[in-house]
Amino acid sequence: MMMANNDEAVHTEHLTKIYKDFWGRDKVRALDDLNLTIHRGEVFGLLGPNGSGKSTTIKLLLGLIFASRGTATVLGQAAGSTAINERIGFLPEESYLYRFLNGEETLRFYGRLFRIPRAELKRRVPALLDTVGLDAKARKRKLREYSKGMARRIGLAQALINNPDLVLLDEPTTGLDPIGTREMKDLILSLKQQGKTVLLCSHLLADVQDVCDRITILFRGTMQTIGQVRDLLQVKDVTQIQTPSMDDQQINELKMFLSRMGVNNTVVTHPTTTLEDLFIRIVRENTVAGQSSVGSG
Amino acid sequence: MYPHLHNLPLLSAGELLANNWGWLVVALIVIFGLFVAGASDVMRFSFTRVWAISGVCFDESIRKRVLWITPLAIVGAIGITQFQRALDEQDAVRQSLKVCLFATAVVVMLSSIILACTNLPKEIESRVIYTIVTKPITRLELVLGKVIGFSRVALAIVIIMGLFTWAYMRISAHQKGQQIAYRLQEGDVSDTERGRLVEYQQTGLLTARSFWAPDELGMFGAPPDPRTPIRIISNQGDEDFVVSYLGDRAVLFGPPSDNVEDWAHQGIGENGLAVRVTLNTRRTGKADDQPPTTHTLGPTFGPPPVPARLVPPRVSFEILDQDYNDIDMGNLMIGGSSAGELVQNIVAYSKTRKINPAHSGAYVRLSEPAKLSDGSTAQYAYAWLPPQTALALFNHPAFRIRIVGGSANVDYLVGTRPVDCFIPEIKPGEIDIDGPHATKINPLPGVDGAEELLAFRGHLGVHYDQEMNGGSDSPNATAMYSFRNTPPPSLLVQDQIPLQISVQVERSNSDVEAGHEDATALAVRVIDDATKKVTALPNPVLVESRLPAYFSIPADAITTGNFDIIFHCMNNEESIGLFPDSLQLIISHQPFELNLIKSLFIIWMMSILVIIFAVLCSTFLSWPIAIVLTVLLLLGHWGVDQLADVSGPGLGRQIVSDFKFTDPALSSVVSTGVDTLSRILNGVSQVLPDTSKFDAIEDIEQGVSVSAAKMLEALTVLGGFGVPAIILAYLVLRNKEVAP
Repeated sequence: MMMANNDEAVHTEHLTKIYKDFWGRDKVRALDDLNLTIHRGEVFGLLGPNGSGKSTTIKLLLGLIFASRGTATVLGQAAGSTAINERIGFLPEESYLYRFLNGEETLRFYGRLFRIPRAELKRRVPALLDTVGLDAKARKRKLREYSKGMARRIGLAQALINNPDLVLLDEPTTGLDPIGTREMKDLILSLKQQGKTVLLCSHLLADVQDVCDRITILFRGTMQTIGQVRDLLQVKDVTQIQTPSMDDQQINELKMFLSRMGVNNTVVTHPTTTLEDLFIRIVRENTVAGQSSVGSG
Repeated sequence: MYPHLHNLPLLSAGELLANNWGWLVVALIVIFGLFVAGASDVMRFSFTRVWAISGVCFDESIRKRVLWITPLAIVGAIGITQFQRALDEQDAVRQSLKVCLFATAVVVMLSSIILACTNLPKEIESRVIYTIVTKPITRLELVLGKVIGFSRVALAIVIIMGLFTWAYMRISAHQKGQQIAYRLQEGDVSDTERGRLVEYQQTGLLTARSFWAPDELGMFGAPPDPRTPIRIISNQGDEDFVVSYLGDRAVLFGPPSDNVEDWAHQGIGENGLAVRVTLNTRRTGKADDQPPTTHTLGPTFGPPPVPARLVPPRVSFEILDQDYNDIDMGNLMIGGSSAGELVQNIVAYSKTRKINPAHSGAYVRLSEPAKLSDGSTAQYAYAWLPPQTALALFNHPAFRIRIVGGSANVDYLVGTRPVDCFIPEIKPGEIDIDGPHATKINPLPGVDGAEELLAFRGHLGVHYDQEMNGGSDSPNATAMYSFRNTPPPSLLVQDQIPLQISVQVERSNSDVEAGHEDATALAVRVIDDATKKVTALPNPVLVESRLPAYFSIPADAITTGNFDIIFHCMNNEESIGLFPDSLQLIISHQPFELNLIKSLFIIWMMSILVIIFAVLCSTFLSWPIAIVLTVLLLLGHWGVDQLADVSGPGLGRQIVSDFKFTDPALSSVVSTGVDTLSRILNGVSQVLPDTSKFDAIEDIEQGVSVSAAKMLEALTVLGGFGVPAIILAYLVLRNKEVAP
């Protein structure tokens, strides 16, 4: 019997999922003996290539499927418990929502499943739609008319309708443009600042690197590594010194100084920005005030 | 049709349990589902969430334009009503009403089954279910939400179709009413029609009536005398009487045995079945079966020849099943005028194993009148059913012994206990038919504490149940409807009690088309049971074939709710076909609107049951298979009912016999296999809903007020099967991985 720890948002022990065929024989071992602890208030990344067991882990934690072996607790209660769903928000890998409802109706519907009072919903729904960047025109449109990016945004809004303690985001940036991706990452960081726990599942490594405190990498259903992002990414046999821009003479003098100290093979270059930063800078500079790509489909 | 059938099933506790095991399973499902497995979900139950789910189901259906099916149904219904052939104005309105309600039922059931069967599988396939079940909603709330949501859609369709039906019927009735008024004003109506049309005009074509049905219909060869229990049937099958017996296996076949085949060698399987009839007769004309007098040509000398003595009349024995179908005609029985004569005939039979036609039970001469201890007389006739044919009783839960008069121009006077039934004692050199060693079989008790269930019937008609000859052919033929414990009608108009009668008129062996006949007149008399006072109506009731006729009897003709109404057909060469409920007392009138609402409510209740079963099937099947299974579940009980006659007990033996299997081992395997299959089929039907209880159209179409009992019956089926089906759906979904 597992002991629930108040510091743990998610805890699994020997969590295993084996899909069986019609005759009950093992067909696919989707997840194998996962032992994982996610602490409250951290942003945790679940990484891995397609078919590595990321989505299976999330489905097990949400009770969408049942474990073949092992146990999992979420916020101190058994995974899949209906009661604990009150405190969970979930954004699936695609926005699986009722396409005949519009944005506002969608949020009101999910709000009623949490028994959020009507008055509170009236306040919370527009606020959330603002947060995810859906404008007044977009929120009155049926979801079937939404672009993929807009669908991700309304999907995120429904995941946050109950102000959850734990947010599970499955490929949250899929389908988003770079600005949307940045906004999503900003939102994740803001959730972290609010003390919420975020479990991020993605194969877009840059996104994970930007927002996650810790990550684990799954491969073929097995956990390969786990730890702090900065620890895992640190190249310990190289030292990097950053200074304001130097001219050629200053560079040569620095190289000679380092050579005298026994440091050879020094490489001096100008640092590069990320493509995402470049894109955002250009778009922002050219965006006419009051116009936005968001909500236009 | 046969009100006394309810007396038949007297089952032991074990049989009761075995026949109702399905209900036991259902109860266990509910208890286990709600109070054991689902206790935590029940504690968390929130109607807010259920209503939210139902709302999204409703919105989805409406936005997918499901309601567009209603205009199509309306156009279809209007189109069909243009091609109807009605008997009269009221029939035209009722036919239109039937079409509209039928269209409503079809549209509601079709849309319900398709919506409810496809919803859940499609949500799982599209993974919308991910965002639902990861919210704090229990699977019980999910199932209930879907059921309520689609029930709301069904209600919307019912309301739209109901409003159309109401408007269309009101317009039709108004038009027909104007036609009636015009015809009455112009005098373009026959005497027979006038009473009916006036009733239509006064009551309205759509107004529903509440009826009180008679307890019993008896057909006699002469009007019953209220001062004596003696009843009269005439000759040659115009009337008969029937005494009913429960197929009590312990009595008929000896002590119960595990191997049903063994039963055949005990009880009547060894000794057959003996029947004794006791009655009196009187000649009403020239005997047709008098032995010829010896005639001699030329002059004779000596005393004149003695005319042959008039021999007693004859009777015919038959054995019927619980539904009045023949099991054994009399020619499979051996008859005798006395127990001694019957024993002689049985001995003769035992030597050849062939029934001598002269000894046949189809034509048994009664004994000479015997003086009884109370001074009265009685004539007897006996018949014996040999063991191998008596075994046919093994296939039926009940049997009835039918006695028909066999001689012309004879009245058969029948007392209160005319038939006795025995399993005789047959030993080498000793046969006891009705003596101390024979086992007497008790008949089913009759109504009002009568000793036995004794029914007097007319000969069976082609379309209608029993027929009564009219006119001078059968000057005394009588039909008697007995009303018992009748409530006082609320419709007394000028101290008259209103009644409705609907008959089939047959003339010279051909049916009479409605509206194309001369008036057929019925003389009517009322007998008050308490005072035995007989009141004859001054004018005959004029009837038309298959159309209702309205008449009334004076309220002072009866003193209590117990009375009999006697009919005699006054027309020559005509016979009147009657059902046990052809005559009805009109208790009250009810507005069409209220009756329509009740009828639509029953349709809606059935649609809810359809939705529940559809949701249940969709929890574990793909939607096309779910639709098929839902239809099978809903029609299963009805289907088994249709097979009931052939799938009853003894089917295995019957098949072995029909296919002439000679190998005992093969016979046993086939017999047991078929019986097992039959039992399984009947067992399965026990846990399937009886959708015939949702009959919402028949009553309103016939202008009968839909009774509260009928609605309660539908509600009982809905609750009895709907609740466990919801629990089952919940349990299946609760243990289902919704992520594909």
